[in-house]
Amino acid sequence: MNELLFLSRFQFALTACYHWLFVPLTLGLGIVMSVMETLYVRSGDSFWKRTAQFWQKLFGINFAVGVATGIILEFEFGTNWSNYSWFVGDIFGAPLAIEGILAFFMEATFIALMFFGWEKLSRRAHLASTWLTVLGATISAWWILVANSWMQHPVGMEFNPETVRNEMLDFFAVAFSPTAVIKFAHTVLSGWMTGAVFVIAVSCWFLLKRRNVDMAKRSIKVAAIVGLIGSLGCMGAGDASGVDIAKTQPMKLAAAEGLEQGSNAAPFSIVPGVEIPHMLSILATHDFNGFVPGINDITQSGYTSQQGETVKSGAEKIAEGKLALKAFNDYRQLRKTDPAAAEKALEEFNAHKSYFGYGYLSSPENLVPNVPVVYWAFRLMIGLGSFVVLIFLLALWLGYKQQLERFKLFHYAALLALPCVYIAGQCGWIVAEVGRQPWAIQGLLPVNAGVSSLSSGHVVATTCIFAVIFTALLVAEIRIMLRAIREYQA
Amino acid sequence: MQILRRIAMFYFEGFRQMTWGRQLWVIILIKLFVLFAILRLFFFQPVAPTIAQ
Repeated sequence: MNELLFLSRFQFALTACYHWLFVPLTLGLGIVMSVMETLYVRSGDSFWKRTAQFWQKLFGINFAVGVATGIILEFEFGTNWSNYSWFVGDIFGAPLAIEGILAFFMEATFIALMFFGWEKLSRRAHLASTWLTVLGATISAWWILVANSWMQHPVGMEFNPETVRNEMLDFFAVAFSPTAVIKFAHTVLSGWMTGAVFVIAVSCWFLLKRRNVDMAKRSIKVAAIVGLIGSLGCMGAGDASGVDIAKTQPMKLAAAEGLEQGSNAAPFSIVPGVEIPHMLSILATHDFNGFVPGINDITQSGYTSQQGETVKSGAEKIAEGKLALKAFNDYRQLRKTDPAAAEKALEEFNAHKSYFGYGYLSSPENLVPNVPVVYWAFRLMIGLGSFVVLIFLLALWLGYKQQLERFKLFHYAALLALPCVYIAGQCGWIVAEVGRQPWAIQGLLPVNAGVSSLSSGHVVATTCIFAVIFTALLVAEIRIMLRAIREYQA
Repeated sequence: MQILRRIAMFYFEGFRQMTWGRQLWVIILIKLFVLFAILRLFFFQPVAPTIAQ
């Protein structure tokens, strides 16, 4: 991989991971604080008002430091990935624009009412403002995930050889593609898990210090319920995601499993050497004997998919892609000087345009992402996610038994669960984005064709500035958050 | 006009009565300044696409 491509990818990965430190907590803590305020409005018990206000303060700290961390990604689209932006901007730009106009305005409007309106609005109006703030954040997640989902499974568009870009044909196909719906559910509900673990961890810290005991115990119960609901939904969406990826991104699934050779009794690998027979077939196709292609099937031999479709080998796709690229270049050169020849070139291009993006690759091996990274990130996500689910179950059990104060082991486990849930979330994105390689847009545009022609020094400079500034902001957030927690008296 | 005045006062009083929120706003403003007045202005200029070439 050339230096500029590596640096551009590294910068985007770094800034995206940074952004993902703040978003899940906004999504999840927003739900917990909204539920608590709902309990206040329904019961009239001022305990829930004070408790909701505390968690809302932490929500605000996280929101303030996290706000606009996503903007840097937008900047990178325009500067580091200008070819990508040109090629797919007509589709990609629409959900981002809607996110800004609808979701951000909604969040901005109601967050002011939420923070400033406690003594000015009626209880119900304030409660509505709180829920609408969280809804705004969730709608924001919808549109950005629509954009990302379109990268994973591009639909609803057509390539225009005149403008050399893809143009949207069907907005609703983009906005409500099954990939987008599943990804939205899985990602947002993972945020619920993050928020729930955060509340439980902070509450357990209070229990360890024997402070705010009643508030901590009752917060744990609310958070554990939110977390468990989020977990069940997240797992269900994860299962649906597996079935979707088996159809739309078989190489990602093969890499996540380290599956070299496909089969009709594909095993699920827990760790290398430890497998459950047939389990991958069940997860990927919901069929005990469903066919799951391996890396070799996709790159070397081709295969017949579970849906009965004949899929060409990587080598065949690359060969067709190069024919398409050549025909397209001929068309661009001839269209003004020799219309008849240009027409023939366009026909040749149309015959092979399904594999246009493959023409930028040099060998079938280029189609394989970094298998160890995807394989282990997937396992880390599931393993740490499972640990978090255990915390929720244990919290509910101890709460039912009225033993939440007693078990210090649970308190320490909950504190450990906090970094675990963040790592699980980052690993999920690593599987999604590293597993997508070499594609920026699956099957349409590889990353090497999407990157701008910049100097490497430029990318190094911006990466360094970003790393320094935003690490300082992250440290500031943690310090403010810790101070708010330490000083809180219920 | 009355409703606009009330909205404006809502925000004015809200910002005036902030306590811990002031520190957060300082962070937000620093961040936005760095993003838009430094990074966006000097480093993240839209680059003319070259894909047609």
